[in-house]
Amino acid sequence: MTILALSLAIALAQTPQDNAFEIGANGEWIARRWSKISFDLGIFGRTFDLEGAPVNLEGKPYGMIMEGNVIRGALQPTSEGSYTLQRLRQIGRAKIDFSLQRSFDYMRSLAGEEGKKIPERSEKQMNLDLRAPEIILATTIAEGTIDFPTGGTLKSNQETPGQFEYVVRGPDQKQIKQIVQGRTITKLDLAFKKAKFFFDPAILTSPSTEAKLPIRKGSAEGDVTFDYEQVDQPNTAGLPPKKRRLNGRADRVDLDFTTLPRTITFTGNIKVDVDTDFSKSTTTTKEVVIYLDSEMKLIRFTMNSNK
Amino acid sequence: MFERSNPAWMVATICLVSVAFAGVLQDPKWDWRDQSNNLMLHAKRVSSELVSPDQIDLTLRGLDGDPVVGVSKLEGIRFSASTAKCTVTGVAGKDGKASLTRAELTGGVQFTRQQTAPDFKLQKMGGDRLTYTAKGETATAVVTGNVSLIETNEKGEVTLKATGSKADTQLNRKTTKGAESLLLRTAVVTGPVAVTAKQGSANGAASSNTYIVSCGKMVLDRTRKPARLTLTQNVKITIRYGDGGKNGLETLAKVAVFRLNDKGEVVGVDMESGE
Repeated sequence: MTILALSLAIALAQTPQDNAFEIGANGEWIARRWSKISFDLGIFGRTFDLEGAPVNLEGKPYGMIMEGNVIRGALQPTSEGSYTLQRLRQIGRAKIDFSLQRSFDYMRSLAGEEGKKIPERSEKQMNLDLRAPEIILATTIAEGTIDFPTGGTLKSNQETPGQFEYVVRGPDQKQIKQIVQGRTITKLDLAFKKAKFFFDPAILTSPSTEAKLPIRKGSAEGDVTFDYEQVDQPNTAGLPPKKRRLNGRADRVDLDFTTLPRTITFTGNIKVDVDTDFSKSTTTTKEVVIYLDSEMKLIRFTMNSNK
Repeated sequence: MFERSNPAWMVATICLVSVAFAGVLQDPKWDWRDQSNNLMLHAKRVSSELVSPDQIDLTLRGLDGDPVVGVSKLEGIRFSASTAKCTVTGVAGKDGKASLTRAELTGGVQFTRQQTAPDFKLQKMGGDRLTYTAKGETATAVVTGNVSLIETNEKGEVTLKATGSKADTQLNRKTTKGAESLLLRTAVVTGPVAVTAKQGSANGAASSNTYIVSCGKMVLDRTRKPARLTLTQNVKITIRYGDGGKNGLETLAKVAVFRLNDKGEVVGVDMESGE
């Protein structure tokens, strides 16, 4: 029944206006809403040149949807007979949208078609939304890069299950500590004039069920605006969500997610608004470092005005 | 068979044959071959006219289950049809090799060219009527009614199949390697047209994917490099994955151009949606 519903949903989602054209080995890469397509089978893989207003390209196993007025790129064959994205250049209304859930839904539908065991639905979710006038993506076996030569935005959103501590009144009106189940939603929004990020190329080679932000490190500069928010949303009715938010502007931001804790370092002419359960302030400073765990939850942050 | 060393005797024989077959004969079998065994014709009934010492016009008829059959070894050509009007030239040539200069074939026409190993390829044209005219290294063939054009690769896999109601084609008469080893040099098929075209593959690995197309017109042009298959008028394209595998999504296009390699496989696609 679930597979039937999923197939119906996919069929309904495929409107005639989409006019899909499959350029992968097994239909796993699909161009939609195109006005022109040029597609080559070369010695080393497949190259494509798509135009639209904007054209849409989906890499189904990777939960990845790209848009742009022009999308040029190359797909590289894998030993499994599928294709991974080797390079990509999006010009005009460029957008890359990763969704763990989309990748997962594809794997579930594929498993259903092939009569394999359908993987359990992940409780974690991860979305990454990149937009810019131009995006250039390139991958090697070891590393992938995403360049924003003329500015852009990055929006990440992760959702993971968690346990939260609340102080509530018991039946005898005494305050007691209570551990409740819930979900933590973390968001990181960045806007910048120029940026380069390094990402894990595995996001383009093997579908993952891990809600892990694929970015490893990177930097952005030029009138950077940022907004980090963590919301602990308890499942228990009546309990308010806990919010932690840091937002503001800086000259530069450096991300380093290669080690734990993960760090986001803002430098230069910083103005930051802090709104957490333990601190509220508006500050101008020279350096702010946000420390996060692997699920992008806030561990601590530091501000330094002496640098 | 005519003796090459005695042209006078040869011409006389042609005349005798011509006279003998001037009317429709009741002979249940009629076979003719040139001196070098290059050109062979088989029919149930025949009438012929010796136009010149070097040219014979033949009107050939078959019977149900035993059609007119023509074979040109030099060009690797074989045809069969219910009736055939053929012009054969080069009869009195010194090499004894006659060639089929023109043929009007009607009724269940099959026109094939088959190459031998190791570069085996079989190409077929079929229809209700086919008019063939040889000219130098190429020939033209106009096919009408239930037209089908089929090309295969050296493995015998169908690389291109087109059906329609009319086809104007230019054919390669030489059987050299590369793109010229394929029968069709150019083809314009009008329809409704249905096309299946085998997809080539990266890294030379085998691909069993096939493009399935319906459209109003197909133009094949192998005079350009790379060769192009242009599809227009209500183009609908679907990819079939694997042998007898599942079909992909249907794509609509105003115009689609498939670029073909020398094996006749699709190695590139250019499309305009018209939107």
